[in-house]
Amino acid sequence: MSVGQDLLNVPFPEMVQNLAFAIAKGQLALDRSSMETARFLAREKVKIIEEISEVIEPNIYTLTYDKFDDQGNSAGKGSILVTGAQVITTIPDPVDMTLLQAGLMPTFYQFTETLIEVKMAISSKTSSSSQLDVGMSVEAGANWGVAHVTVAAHVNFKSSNTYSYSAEGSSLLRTTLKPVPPPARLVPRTITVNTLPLLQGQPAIVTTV
Amino acid sequence: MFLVRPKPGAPPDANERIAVYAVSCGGYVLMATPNGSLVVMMPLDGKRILEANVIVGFVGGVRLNENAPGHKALQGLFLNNVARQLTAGRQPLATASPSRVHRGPGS
Repeated sequence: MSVGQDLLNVPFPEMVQNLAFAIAKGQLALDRSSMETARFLAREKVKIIEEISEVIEPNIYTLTYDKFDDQGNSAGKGSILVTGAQVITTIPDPVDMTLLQAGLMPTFYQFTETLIEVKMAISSKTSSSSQLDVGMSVEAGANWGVAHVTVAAHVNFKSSNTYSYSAEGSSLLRTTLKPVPPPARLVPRTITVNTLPLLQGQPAIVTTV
Repeated sequence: MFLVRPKPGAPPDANERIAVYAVSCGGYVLMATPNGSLVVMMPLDGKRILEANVIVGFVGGVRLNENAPGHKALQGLFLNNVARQLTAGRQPLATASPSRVHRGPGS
């Protein structure tokens, strides 16, 4: 078993493929939820007062007072001009509009970044040892005029091989989800036509939001 | 912010119960709609918290569009309701009931 082969055996293409399918499935589920929210918002109606107009007008009035001379006798009436202001508030009738028109919109999310990381730690260790043991014994003797010599030798050889192999792995999957603006066509356009300039001979002003 | 709807077939007081639950989990009820939906503001992980309630049928994230004609009115309505809940001390049983939530004109 080689380290290189172990690395090749990691199913990386399948992991990336599964990740891509999972993201596509997740994105579809998120989009469906957002569209469902949009449907509810388009059905819910509320009455909204779009704007309240306030006109500040001058409010001038005259205060009268009694005049007296130095002796304390009445000397007629005097008047003082007092300037002030008054606010005239105009509140139109509330108009029916859906929550979507009023400005409540569904939140759309998008998978913007995904990271997949696989780490493997492989170790392979081989050790070998050998031992050689040599011994010799010599014995000499004589008997009845005959000499004899005995030589004995022994050799012991021992060898051993040890192999160890270990592999550890970890994987990391991280994805980033961010809110994004809704599709442009989801929100209805508001077209405002201001015809006030017509009073001065100017064309009407059309504003689209 | 989330749009919350009860499950089909939920009891008639489902919205009130969802409102009490949302407040007890640290949220605020921003608005109750005439068709039986709630717009609530929840802390982190709010969607999972709301979906954990058995009578909640749908939870969808929403946000305010500043370019829409009614966004100021909605904003004012939300702030008004939150202020009422804050000043009332956020006691779930006493103040979170949508009957005390200002529903806005005509709702």
